[in-house]
Amino acid sequence: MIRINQITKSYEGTRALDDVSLEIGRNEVVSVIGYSGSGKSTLIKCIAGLEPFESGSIVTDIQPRNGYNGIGMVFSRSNLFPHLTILQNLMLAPVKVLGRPKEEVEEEAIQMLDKVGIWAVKDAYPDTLSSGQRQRAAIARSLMMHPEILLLDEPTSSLDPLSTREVFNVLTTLKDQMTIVLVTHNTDFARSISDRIVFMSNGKVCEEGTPSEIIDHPKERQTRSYINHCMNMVYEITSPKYDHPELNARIEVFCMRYRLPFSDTYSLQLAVEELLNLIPLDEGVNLLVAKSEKGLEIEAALPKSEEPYLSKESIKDDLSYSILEGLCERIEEGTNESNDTVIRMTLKQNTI
Amino acid sequence: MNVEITQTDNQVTVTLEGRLDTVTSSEFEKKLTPYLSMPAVELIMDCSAMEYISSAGLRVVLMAHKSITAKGGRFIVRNLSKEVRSVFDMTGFSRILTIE
Repeated sequence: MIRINQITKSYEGTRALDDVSLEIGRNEVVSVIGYSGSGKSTLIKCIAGLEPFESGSIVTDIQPRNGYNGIGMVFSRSNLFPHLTILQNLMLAPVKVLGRPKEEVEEEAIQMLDKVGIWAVKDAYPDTLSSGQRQRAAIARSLMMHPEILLLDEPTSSLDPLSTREVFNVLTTLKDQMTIVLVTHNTDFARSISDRIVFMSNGKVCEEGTPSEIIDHPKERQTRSYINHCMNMVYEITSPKYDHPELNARIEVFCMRYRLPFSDTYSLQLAVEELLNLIPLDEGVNLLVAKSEKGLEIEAALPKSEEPYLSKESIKDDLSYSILEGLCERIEEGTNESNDTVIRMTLKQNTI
Repeated sequence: MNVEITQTDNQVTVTLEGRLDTVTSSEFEKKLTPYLSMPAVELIMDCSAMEYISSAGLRVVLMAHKSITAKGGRFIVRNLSKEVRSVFDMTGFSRILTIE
């Protein structure tokens, strides 16, 4: 159980947490979502005891053991010790902090690595592992201390979809065994694993409820805006021989997940197919499909080009372009923060 | 995508099922080509089970229409779904082709 009562925390005069109260039950899984800077990471650092706060209180029902507060914390970067093997990373705290016998801890660490599916890399160093394996090792390291509360600060933010799935599978096995508080931007992840979702904005708890209440039927305008903002799908095309059926299937799953009508699925698949007919794919394209307050949007990031990719002069395929013009109310080219060229399209409503 | 072609005298019926897109249009074109050289044929494209068409499919349809009509035949598209019809409308194909 975690009882957070009216805590307030500021960084150099800026309110990071503003009178936050929240109660989290034993073995409950709670995801905290919200824009960057909304206070969610600060909140779990306060719960972990890593950040002092100015007023209010945080009470848990955990009995400290050998100076360990019973709270495990996993960050977005795995923070494993690079000079230790994965097995050594797992063994360090139970032996040094809890004073447990080395042989017993080693046996448990091997079982733990088996549980999270990375037993085979127990003797490898963190740098040689995939990002998903490193993050699973970081979770396993936390679990070696038998925490009663596990706090995770954006554990999948630096992971690709496959690695995210690996971490998700590990966390699913922990459900009902401990209290989990998860800070994430991944609403799919939050929906799948959580008993309750808390949406934070400007250092306050703006709205909380079941995954369905928060993601499907948010009441507050800010929550709605955030959820819409998060409704997206990314797909990387690495060559002109991309897997078109797989891309279509991904768009279909995206539309089903957000209960979009068939006409939206058709429009998105058609717009993406026609766009990919018109742009070079040799150097790769990162596609983003999103549902926002503006409607259905598609972004394609390509290597920077001095000439526009979609100028009237450069279009050789009039049929594809006329379909795009028919489908879209906006087709623009610009650059992103990585200085790539980005084609942004917003689809008209009810064209198909 | 499934393509079924039946022929009776000078009438050819092409029944399409599924998606006609960048992946499937070349296969469709291959199956259709032997019938495009027939003189004064009536080719009916039954699209009642066609779920999707993109520019790649429309190109094959246009090519078939041109080949058939150039030899004095008729090219008819039938039973378009609302969604597929809107793509024909958007591209002006509805004005060029005979749609029933």
